[in-house]
Amino acid sequence: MKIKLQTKSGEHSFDCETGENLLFAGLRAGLTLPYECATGTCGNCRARVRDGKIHHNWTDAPGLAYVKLEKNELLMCQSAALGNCTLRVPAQVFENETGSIVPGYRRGVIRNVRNLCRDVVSFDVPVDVPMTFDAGQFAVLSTADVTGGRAYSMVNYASSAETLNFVVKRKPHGKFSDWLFENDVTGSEINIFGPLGKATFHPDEKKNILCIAGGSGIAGMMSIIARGCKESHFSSHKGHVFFGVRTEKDAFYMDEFLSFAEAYPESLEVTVALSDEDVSAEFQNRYPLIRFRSGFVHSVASEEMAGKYENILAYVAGPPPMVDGAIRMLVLEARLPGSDIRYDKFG
Amino acid sequence: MITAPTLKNTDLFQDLSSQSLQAIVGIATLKSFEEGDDIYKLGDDANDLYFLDSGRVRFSIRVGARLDGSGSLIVPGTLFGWAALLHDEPRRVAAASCLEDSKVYLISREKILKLFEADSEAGYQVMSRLATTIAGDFISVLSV
Repeated sequence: MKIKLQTKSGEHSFDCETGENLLFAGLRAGLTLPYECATGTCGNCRARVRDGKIHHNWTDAPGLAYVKLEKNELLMCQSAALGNCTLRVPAQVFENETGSIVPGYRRGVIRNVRNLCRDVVSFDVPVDVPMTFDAGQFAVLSTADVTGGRAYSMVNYASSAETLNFVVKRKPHGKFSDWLFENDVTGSEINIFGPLGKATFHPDEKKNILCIAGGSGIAGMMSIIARGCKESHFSSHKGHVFFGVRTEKDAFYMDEFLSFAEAYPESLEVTVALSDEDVSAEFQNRYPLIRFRSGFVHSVASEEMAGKYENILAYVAGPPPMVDGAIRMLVLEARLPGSDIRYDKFG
Repeated sequence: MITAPTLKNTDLFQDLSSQSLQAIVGIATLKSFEEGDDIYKLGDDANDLYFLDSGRVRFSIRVGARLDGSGSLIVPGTLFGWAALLHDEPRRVAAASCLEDSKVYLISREKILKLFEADSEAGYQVMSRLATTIAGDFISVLSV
């Protein structure tokens, strides 16, 4: 079916399959539709129906708090068209520049499930069509066993990835994480839409990198650091990575961090912040190039980064309180402009 | 419309006298925004306090790229952007954008702080309320 868009920058149109998520249909048609979470919580993909009928897929979506249903408003990421439609989007929308990465659908099967620590699991998804993505991007994953999609950052980086790697922290009452942790999901089919997201890294930006992550927020930053190492970005720029967990038992990717630090010992610093305990001598000796500090990760970053913010691009991801604290620190102490702070907040 | 009584209904200005409130009304300027416009973004200089006269504004201190929909809706009659009252070149740690065409009164940081210099009782009352607001925000962040 045909979807017409009225936007602040002109009119567009795109085709949409029966039952297809309007946001995904527009993005894969190459339009720069506004979105953030792509999973119904942020409300940024709000639009208004001018003509036609739509179906709300998730009537309890948190993002609907920003929508006036009585004015025929909807969340594009949680709506499907029931026929040809005309929508008004209160934003500037353009066609992607030639050569831009355009998201699309892929299918895969879960492989190589491994427990990284007590409530964090990692898995691979070899996909039917390789995905090109920017380091720091995410994809929306869905399975027939769980209603609705979930957004996860790609942990790995490859210019054309045949396998995507994800890490998931168990979320209390989270249906997808319950499914992942309580079942043998190896071999389960997964549908993927991506790549998505703008909290990305590209070496052409020629800036020092600061990563502040809590828990599974480290996912996208592993991709960023991997790309930085692969493309020798840290030969000429500094990298500062702060990873916050509660205790040593909750730390993961330690061998990977060690590899990164060994590759660039003079320019890439990795600090693990333990909020609930001091590091043991045994753990420190196992990872000699990793620095350990006690405290909340954004506080540790604030102390360690004093005077080091020149020419820096900051990435922040993790639980909301941690991200809030880090952003306040970056805006008020480091005086970074908003354009140099790229962040993901999630529960 | 911004008036002494409508300002009296706000958290920050509820303790002020009619005279003090009228002085604030006198320095407020009206600005119109279209649906989708940003009133301010993360990192912007905090030069103004705002009073929403009509429309609907989304205040997002916790909206990022994923899953967290806990921004808030600002409705007419609400003061927002109080970071402008802080000292030492305040900047925005949140964003405010229009969910529909909106009219907003801007109260200049420079002008209101000058008012408070001349009216120290009003300044004390507002800053006391501001301290309570900041403490409340801090506690709610920690409790998430």
